[in-house]
Amino acid sequence: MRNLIQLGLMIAAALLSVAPLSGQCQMIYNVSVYADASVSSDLSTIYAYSSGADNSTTCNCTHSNYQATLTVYAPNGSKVSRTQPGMQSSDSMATNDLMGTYDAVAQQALNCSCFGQVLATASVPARVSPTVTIPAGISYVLYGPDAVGYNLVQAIGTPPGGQYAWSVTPANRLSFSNGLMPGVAQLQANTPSAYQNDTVLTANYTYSGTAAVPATTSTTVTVYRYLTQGSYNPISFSPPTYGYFGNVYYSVYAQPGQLLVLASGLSVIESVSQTSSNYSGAAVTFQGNAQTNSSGNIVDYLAVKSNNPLPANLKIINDQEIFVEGLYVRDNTVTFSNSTATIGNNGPYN
Amino acid sequence: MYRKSRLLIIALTTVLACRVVCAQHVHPQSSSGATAQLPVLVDGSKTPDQIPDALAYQHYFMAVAAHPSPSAQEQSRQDAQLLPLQLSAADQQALILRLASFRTQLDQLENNLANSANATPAPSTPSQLASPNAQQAALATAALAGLRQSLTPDGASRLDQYVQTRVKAHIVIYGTPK
Repeated sequence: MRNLIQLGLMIAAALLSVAPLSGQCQMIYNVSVYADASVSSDLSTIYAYSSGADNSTTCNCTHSNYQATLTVYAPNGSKVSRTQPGMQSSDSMATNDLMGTYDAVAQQALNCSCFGQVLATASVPARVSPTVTIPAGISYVLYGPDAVGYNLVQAIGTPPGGQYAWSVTPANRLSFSNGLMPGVAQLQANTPSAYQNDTVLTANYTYSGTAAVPATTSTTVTVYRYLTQGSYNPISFSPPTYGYFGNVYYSVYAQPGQLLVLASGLSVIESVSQTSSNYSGAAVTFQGNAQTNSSGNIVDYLAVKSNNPLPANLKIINDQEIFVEGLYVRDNTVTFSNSTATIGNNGPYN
Repeated sequence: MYRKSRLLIIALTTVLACRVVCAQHVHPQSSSGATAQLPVLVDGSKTPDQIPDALAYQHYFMAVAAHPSPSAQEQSRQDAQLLPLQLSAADQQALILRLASFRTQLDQLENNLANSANATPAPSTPSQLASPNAQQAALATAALAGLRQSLTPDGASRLDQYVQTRVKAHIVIYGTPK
């Protein structure tokens, strides 16, 4: 019995006297894995990829036979998988327009001579969902019936073939009708904006039952409010015709924002009535263009024409009203003398 | 007395033996030859700040770098990978060029490793293993330094933001608990 105790104590002493091997070298694993996935811009393909790094302290063990496996799972349960030697792997899967959450699972394997095969894994979900953008937006919506088709806004959904739905805040500001192409809406302004960019258009897009994050853009519903006028520099008729003629150019402005409207084809109507005249031998002509020209201007032709020289004291006064898209934008008092016409602006001024 | 002494000796011997063996090998919970999953040291999705920058860039570059003349598939993959960075055209081109150079060097390194492994069936010393990993890390560090020279401040910022927020969140470090 005593011998047995002594033997045990001797063994213990011997073990205590051995320097711990940890002091010499300690096996420390350090294996990292990166897994990620990206979706192509047209949403047709999901790309999964992984990389590994082995920063282990191996002591007397060796690491070898690295293998990187990547598996992509589709929302419907189908999968693709690929194993490549080394520390990197990548694989791709056609989405076939299947929206939803895909999963990429990366597995980094290595053989440790001391402990056999060791695995490190990482996984990442990848959401494939439709997208919608409003590439150009619409800086202002012109008030009126918009027969020309200026009030158009376009959203582009990806992948194509889904359903668009537009909404506006505030809700009564304007209404939508379908444009000529999917995603294009024609806007009918119902009430003007109180201030600039106070109207938010939202494009919703749904593909295969999956909704995209809506796209928005701000705009201003503008009303044609006033005109600014260029100079009138008349040219004389050549005898035997007497008098003069020339064009006056007007620019159209809308509010709010004192917006210079550059839209061509807007309907222009003018209403003229004679207030007074001291000479009956001359014909006065007001001939405004029926639509704004390609620069968005109203061009008004003014002329006094006579078969006799105009009297020096000629004074013919007319009242002129101008309307754009049916909206009253200008009142003039036009006074014709024997050499020119003077245009008095009675507003609106802004 | 005899029984107590015997138990004491057995316990003492077991503890000491374990001290020697366990200190030498803190290892995955498997016996030799079996497949084992290492314990997680850092989960980047939870503690991204514990993923070193250099490691994150190394992983990202390895995963994204395409060859100088990439296949259509490789090109498409890289296009999709770079999409979220929203780099300017010039910055994207600079990144692609730098990564292509990185890929070439990485391939060369891996080829050398493969040749060396063929020559000697298995690495026999720790330094043989450590060297390629260290070289990979060095290549990534050099590529990053080059990128910081060639990218605009905006491009470098976008890349770093992506690595810090996206890449780190998808890295998991496994290993021996401290």
